Order: sequence, then C-alpha cells, then structure tokens
Amino acid sequence: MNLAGWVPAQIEWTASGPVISWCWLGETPLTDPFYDNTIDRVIGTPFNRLFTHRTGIDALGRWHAESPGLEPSGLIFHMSRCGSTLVSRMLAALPDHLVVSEAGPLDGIAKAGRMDWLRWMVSALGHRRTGRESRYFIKFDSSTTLHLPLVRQAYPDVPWIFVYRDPVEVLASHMNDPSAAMMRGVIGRGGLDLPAGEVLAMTDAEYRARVLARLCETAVHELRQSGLPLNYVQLPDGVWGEVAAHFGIRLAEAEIGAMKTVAQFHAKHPKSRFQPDEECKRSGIAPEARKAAERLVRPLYNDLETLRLRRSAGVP
Amino acid sequence: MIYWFGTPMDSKADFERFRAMVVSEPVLRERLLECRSDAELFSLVIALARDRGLIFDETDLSRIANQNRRRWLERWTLA
Repeated sequence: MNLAGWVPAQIEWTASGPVISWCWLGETPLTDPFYDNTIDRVIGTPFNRLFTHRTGIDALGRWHAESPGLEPSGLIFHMSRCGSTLVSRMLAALPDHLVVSEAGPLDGIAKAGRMDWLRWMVSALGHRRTGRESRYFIKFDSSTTLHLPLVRQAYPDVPWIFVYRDPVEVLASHMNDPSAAMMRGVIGRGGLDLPAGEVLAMTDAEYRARVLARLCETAVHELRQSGLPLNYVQLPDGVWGEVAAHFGIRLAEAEIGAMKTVAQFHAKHPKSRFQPDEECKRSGIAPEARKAAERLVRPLYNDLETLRLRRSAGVP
Repeated sequence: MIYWFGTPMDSKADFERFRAMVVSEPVLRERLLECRSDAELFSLVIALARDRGLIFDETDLSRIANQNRRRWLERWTLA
C-alpha cells in the first residue's frame, strides 16, 4: 500500500494490538507548535472526514520497509513547561528542517515498549513534507521522558537534549493550568511506582511535583551517559549555540536570524509576542506547591545543573 | 441482508473497496481533494463509485464521516 501523503493521526489500542488511523496531509508542512494541532486542522476537511482509514500495526512496518522516512537528526525531551516548544519552533524556522512536535501517535507507541514499533512510527512521521527537508527533529511529550532508555536504544547514535527549568516556575504553571499528564488517571499515574490509593491521597501539588521529579530523575540517569542538558535560562541563544553544536548543525547568519525572529513570539501562541513570566510564576505559586517543588524536584534540578555545568566546563 | 451498525454489509464492503482505490490511485484522490463541502464530496464519491460498480448512498457516507470525526474527538478517552 502506497501511503505517501498519509500520516498517522492517532492510535487506538485494541485486543489484537494497536490500530493506526491515517489521515491525508499531502505536502502540508508541520508549521503548528504541535503535530496534533496540524492534524486537528486537516482532519476536519471533507476528504479526511470520509477517507481517514485504519490499519493494523503491520501496515506501519510494511510502509517503513517500502519507504523509510528521514533518520532523526536530534531528539528533544523535557520536563514540560520549560521552553521545549520554543526549541522545536526555532528549529522548525529553517526550511530544511522537519520538526515533529509531540505527535500523539509517536508518544502513544513509545509507551508500548516495542522498539520496532517505535522505529516504524518515527519513520512514518519522518517523510519529507515540502521536499526540501534534510534534517529531522523530534520533540516528544514530557511523559515520554520515562521511555528515554527505549528511545536511546532505538537511536543510539542520534544526539538528544533534555530541557528543564526552575521547578517552582514549572510547577506554578501546572498549578495554574495542568497538562493532561498532571491530572491523575488521564495518563496513568505519571510514571509513579506507587499504589493507586497513595496517588489518589496526595494533594495536587505533591502529585504534580512527584511526576516532575520522576521525569527529571530519568533524565539525570540517562544524561550521565549521553545527551545535553539545556536550562530554560539558556534560551533562546542556546538553540543556535549549544543545541546546534550538539546536533551537528552549522548555521548561517540568516538562519540564526530566522530563529531569533521566532523567539520573539510565544512558542505555543505564535501570534502573540513573548513576555518573560519568571517573576509572575514565582510570586503567584501557593506556599504548599512551592514547598513541594523545593522538596521533591529541586534536588534533581540541582543534579541537572551540575551535569550541565560540568559539561560546559568540559569535565567528562 | 447482514447489517453493520445499521449499514448493509454490501455497502460497507463497497465503500471499503472504494476507499482502497482512493489510497492507491493519486488521480482519483486529487479529484476528490478538490471538493470543499461534504455535499459536493459525497455526490462525487457516489457517482465515481457507481462508475466502478460500487454502491452506497449519502446516509452511509454521513455515518462514516461522523464516525471518523467522533473517533478523533474521543481520542483522549481512547488512550
């Protein structure tokens, strides 16, 4: 089956395995902050309403064998609400970059723990959209950080980064507007190896701080072996600096200019200008949430900072 | 007659055959992609399918379109 122009839109889990829904994207570039935004925009067209079709996971494997997509050039993991979307938007500013940001089908398949399925999905999403793309970057959902070992195993030679931010600022954002991963039961237990009763008995602040801690803990463990830690405070310059170097990209002045232009706008709402919000987040957080961030996440943030500073000082 | 969610099995099978053609035939697909409304698309699909000996009607197509849309909207509950 020739699936050129069709992309995985979603995964459903059935008793006989995952089922992939394919929708028509044609040559539409992935210009939205998130992959699912693009799918949401195209899946409502008359054509897709009728011809979105479903296949088993084997069709994904056959498509990979027949027509593999680009090999990834760089992978982006993060703790959420930390500037990772700005990183992906800045990379996407260059026309020879294909950037897939938090694609639901990819993050979904990663949770299955099957390396072959993961590779097939990465391949299906890695087809050139405009024909000009020569590099392919993937930003995963924050929860996929828990599956970093599997992704590293699947792509041992692909450079990756972990983006993080001061835990008080991150938790403040989730207390104000929690992501799905921060709501108990929406996406499992956030990777917490705790009984359901214990998870349900926690305050929101403690639960969300523990999920953030779990993500950072996984990242710290993996960063001791490879990868680049990137702190929010390094943005945006760090993208054309450390990140570009780590991903092996040599940028022309005009390309850095294109990235700088993107960085002037809010990464998730690109029609609005970016406004710094550190002070607002720090002053707006409730004392209980601040304490949870300091107690549960701060020690791991400090570990990430140690790793980053050692790396920038050239200490192995 | 066997029914599938209220749709005669024959029309479902016919639509699946037509859908496979849409996936594999770029010229057919390009023609359908030009349609800007469900009404325009449905009438063209029914006519082109009939030319190929495949029979289904607007009710079948509405049901399929709604099912696809619902599946996308309910993706969080399916996770």
